[in-house]
Amino acid sequence: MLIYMMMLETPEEKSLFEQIYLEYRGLMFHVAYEILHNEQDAEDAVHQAFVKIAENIKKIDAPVCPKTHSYVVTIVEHQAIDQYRRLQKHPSVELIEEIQGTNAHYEGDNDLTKCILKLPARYREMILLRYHHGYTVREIAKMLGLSLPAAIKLDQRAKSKLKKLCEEAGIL
Amino acid sequence: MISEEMLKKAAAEADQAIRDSLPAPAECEHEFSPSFQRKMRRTFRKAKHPVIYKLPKYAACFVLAVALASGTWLTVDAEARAAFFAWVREQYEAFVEYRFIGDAPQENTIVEYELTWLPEGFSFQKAQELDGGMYLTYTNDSGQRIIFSYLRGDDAASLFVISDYTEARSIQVGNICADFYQADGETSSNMLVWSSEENDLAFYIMADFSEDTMIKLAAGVQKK
Repeated sequence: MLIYMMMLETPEEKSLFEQIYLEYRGLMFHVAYEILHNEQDAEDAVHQAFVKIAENIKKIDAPVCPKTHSYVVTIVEHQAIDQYRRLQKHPSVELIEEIQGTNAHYEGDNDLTKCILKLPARYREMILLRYHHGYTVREIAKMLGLSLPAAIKLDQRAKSKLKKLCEEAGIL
Repeated sequence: MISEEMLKKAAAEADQAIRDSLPAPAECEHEFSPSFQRKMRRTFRKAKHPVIYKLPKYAACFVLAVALASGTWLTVDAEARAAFFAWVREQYEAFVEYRFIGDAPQENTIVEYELTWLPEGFSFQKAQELDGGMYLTYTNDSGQRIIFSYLRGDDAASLFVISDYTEARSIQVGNICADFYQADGETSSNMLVWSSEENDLAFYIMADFSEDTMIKLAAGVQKK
């Protein structure tokens, strides 16, 4: 379980990672626990999330900022759903991709925002990482631990689902 | 029609809404289990003695050392830990960790090894000293590379392989057991890993060659 620290190359990166760990581990556990409802499983998901964060540490500029905050939430949510999938006896892609993940309350009037928040967690993560964080599909594949074809498919499904939600909302 | 700008704006708002819906990080107190904390303590301790990060980046994504004792892989258990030192292998969901347990012989110098057989066209290019090991590169005119590396076991030695291989199988190099990792063929090279007969050194070879050629390379490893 040491892989993440071994991937950090400079003292600055180690410090950055340590600060992220100290700042967000509790929040990450909260997010994971909301999905898994089991402490051990949630801790495993948090750990896996830190592995991914360390692998992609160069993508993080500052340990405590809104971008890093949302990034770690996205990564741990993804890992928690992965953990959930592993715990299922007969997981299916369809079922996993319907999990809602973190509940968000939005009181604004942007219908497109509402549609994004209605997306299942897997799709929402992809949309946020692409359009808010600005990562490429290839980068997202690496940070989520997906193969490139799987990430491309997830991206397509996410956009397709968002389009459908927008049509239902009368945006399109 | 939804423009990319609209999508970016909405994504930013959605992101903000998610963060606002969660408790503040400082409010999320959780007493992590001793198991989790042990992993973290070990993580921070090992971070002071890193090994893998000294390797080139492309190698670091597919690097491992081998755990071998008395011709078999060890699983981690208390008896094994107490009985002798060795490289042990732990399989995780997304990666394999190979780490050294026990007290290795205290030697400050490391015996140098080299590949004595190379495929046609290859020659030695350079050697880099690691913390407790060596990292040798062999190349040919086409730019193909063979990486040969070895590490001495000590308390800080731990290496990893990320699951970007398609198959792992046990094979023999002479009378020594080794593991062959077949890469996915796109981003990684094949790996062959084994340990010295004394179990104090872990060896690996990484190259785009067949299993048979990799075995031949390993069979040619000799002390300088």
